[in-house]
Amino acid sequence: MNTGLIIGTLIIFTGLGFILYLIWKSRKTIEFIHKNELKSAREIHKKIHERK
Amino acid sequence: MSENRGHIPAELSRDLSLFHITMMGLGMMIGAGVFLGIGNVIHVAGPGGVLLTFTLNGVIAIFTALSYAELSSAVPKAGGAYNYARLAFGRGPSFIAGWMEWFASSVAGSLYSVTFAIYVVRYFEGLGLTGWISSSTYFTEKIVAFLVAIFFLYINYRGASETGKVGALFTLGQTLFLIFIGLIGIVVAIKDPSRIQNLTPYLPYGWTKILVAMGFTYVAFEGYEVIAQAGDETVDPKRNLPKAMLYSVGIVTVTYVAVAFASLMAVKAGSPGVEGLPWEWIGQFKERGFGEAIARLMPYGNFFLTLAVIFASVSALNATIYSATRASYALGRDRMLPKMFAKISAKRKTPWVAMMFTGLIVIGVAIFLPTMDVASSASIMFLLLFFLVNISVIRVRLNMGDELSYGFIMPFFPFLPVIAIACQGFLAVWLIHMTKISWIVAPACVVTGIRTDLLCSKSHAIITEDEIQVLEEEQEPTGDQYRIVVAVANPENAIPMIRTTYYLSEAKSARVKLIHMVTVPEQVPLTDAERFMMEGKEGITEVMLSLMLKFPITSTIRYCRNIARGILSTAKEKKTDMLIMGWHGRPRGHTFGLGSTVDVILERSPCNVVILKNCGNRPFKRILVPWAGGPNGAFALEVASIIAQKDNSEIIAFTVNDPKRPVNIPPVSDITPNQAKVDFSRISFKVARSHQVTDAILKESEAYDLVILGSTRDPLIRQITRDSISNAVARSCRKPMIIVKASGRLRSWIKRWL
Repeated sequence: MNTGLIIGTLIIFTGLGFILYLIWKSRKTIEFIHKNELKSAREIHKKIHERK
Repeated sequence: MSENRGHIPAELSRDLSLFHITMMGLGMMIGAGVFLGIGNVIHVAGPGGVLLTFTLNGVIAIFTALSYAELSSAVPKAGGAYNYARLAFGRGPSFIAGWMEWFASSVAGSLYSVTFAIYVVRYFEGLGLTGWISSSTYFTEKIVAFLVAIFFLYINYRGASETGKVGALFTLGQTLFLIFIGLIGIVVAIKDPSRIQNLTPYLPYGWTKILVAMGFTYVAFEGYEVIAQAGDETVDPKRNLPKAMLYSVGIVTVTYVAVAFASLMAVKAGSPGVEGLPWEWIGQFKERGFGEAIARLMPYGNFFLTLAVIFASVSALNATIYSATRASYALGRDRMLPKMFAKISAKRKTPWVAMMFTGLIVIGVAIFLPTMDVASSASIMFLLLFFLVNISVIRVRLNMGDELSYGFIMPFFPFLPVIAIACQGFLAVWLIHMTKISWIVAPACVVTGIRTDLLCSKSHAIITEDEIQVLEEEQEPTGDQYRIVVAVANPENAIPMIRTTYYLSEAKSARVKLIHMVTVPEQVPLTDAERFMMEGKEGITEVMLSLMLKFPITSTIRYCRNIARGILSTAKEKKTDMLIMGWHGRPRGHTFGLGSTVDVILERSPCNVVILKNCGNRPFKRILVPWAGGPNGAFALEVASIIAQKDNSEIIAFTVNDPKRPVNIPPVSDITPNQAKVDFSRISFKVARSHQVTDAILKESEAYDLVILGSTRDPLIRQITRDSISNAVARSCRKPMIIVKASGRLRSWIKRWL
């Protein structure tokens, strides 16, 4: 089996997966901020940390 | 105000939904670039190269999209990168950003109108239907380019809703077509697994060729700019703008990879007319490679491709005219360009003057200039814009994160924008290597922008709400003396600071600058700021009367909506070595550990900070310094030594060891003279063992006149999310207290720059 093909396919799926993960995570953050009516970056950080 | 009397200003109308703006972003991205790019990338980087190129470009694009998403959620108004640069860097750089945005988007519009014309004319030429326009193909193309540009200028003039709806229709068509191709490719690969062999050799020219391919296809990922421009016209912009940016990048990346895969699967090795390996056969056609491959994937492939390129060109043209118009409108709105650029049609609610000038550039470049060469310069300008936006997102979050109302903040801050800055800087440089003419056009555009800024914008630009204004300032003597800035709020706050300021200034042979930040209520216009200066002036006078005979003193009175940002900006501007300020000791609410001003000053000050709480002007005989090592502890001992020398007092370095979590605390004797000038002869030591470090310090402090506390050294995000021991002690301690923070050379340099 071609090593380049394996590494390349791995990079493609990791890259696409990472993009989709960032979109999913960001969407969650947007809805969380909206739901809790948060404003400043500090407030958002604190609330996200508390949620964790 | 008088010029607006009796006139209700027209505003842009909010008609665009999440679907509309996502489609606008997609429309700008899926221009002709991807159709022409696939064959070229296969030729340059091979079959694996094309898949990797689109994936990796997608990853870099999503990083920048996150920066755009965060900033657009905080500043959801027309102007995009210009607005963000204005917040981050001020007027001059923001004008250049807006200027480049306008020029680059307009020229991209010219490129799309010419691409549309070339494909339409060639198609109708094949049918023999163009002879009646002109005998010359070149002139026919120019006439068609002119007409299509006029048509989409009119659509844009009709209003954002029309622009969004028409654009969405075209974009939806082309996106569905591409997704359809991608699906057919996957089905073909499943039905005939032998075609997977078309991917070998995976990278025939090596990994480095991927970088070349990424350079010239990155243009197919720059759609978030147009979404940012729609801030004034989008429904619920704080939620919808960031979502649209991220969705559009996600959709195009997956679509591009699927389409590239389909084009590789389309050709069967050894089939009639295919010589050599399938990817070599596709690559030899370069720009036409994608079309040749698709023609083998489905019947009428070439016809459908022509149709797709036409759809792609018009939706991209529509989006770029929209984007360029809003960029110049924003410059006019803030009087960076003449006021008339901000005129809005009362009937259509669209910026018609900005549109007219944008139209002149689009049509002028399309007809008279070599569009492809100028467009490559536009690509560089887009990359530089993104570079600027990624720096802006860091600066804005650090300097204005407490003032802005965010609808979204990005994950993994600041690592993602830093990676994007590095990658885009590299790609921009690489593009310069690929197109020589862009070496001339891009810098020429920037220079013209700087000249316009100097001639026109600088004197007319409107002051925005977030700017810092100097209301009164005394000239400072030149020299290399140690600089101390003392922030004075009012006489009650100023008088208790005099004694300590005196001691520190004398010990450092310092030059003192007194600063008062005027706080003006939100509802009061900036022009009335001077009404609120009096209290601060009285405070400054009190301090001056006490110190001016001993030290060179100057003062400045400034206005800023946010006191902490105003003080920090002055500290940076004046290259301050030490900042002294008072603290009332009562934080309001739970968002801040010590208060909205003190927290920010301690986190972001580029110099040493000394914060005085209830110090008064009495001598201190016993000074407690909680000691846990580190530069802040050393600086606390230095301040204690200065006071102890004057008041002839004793210093106790107090260490608490938690038996459950023992920490190796370095001895005080490790402090070097370079780190802090500590008078070791006055220091005695005390060690306590307790599980409750905060309580132990508070209990010990009862027996002292003064507590000097080094601030926490936790990283910024941890400082925000977790309460530190020093904050807990500072809040609860009832004794006079000084909180200090030392600034290391590297940290200081980074903070001054950011």
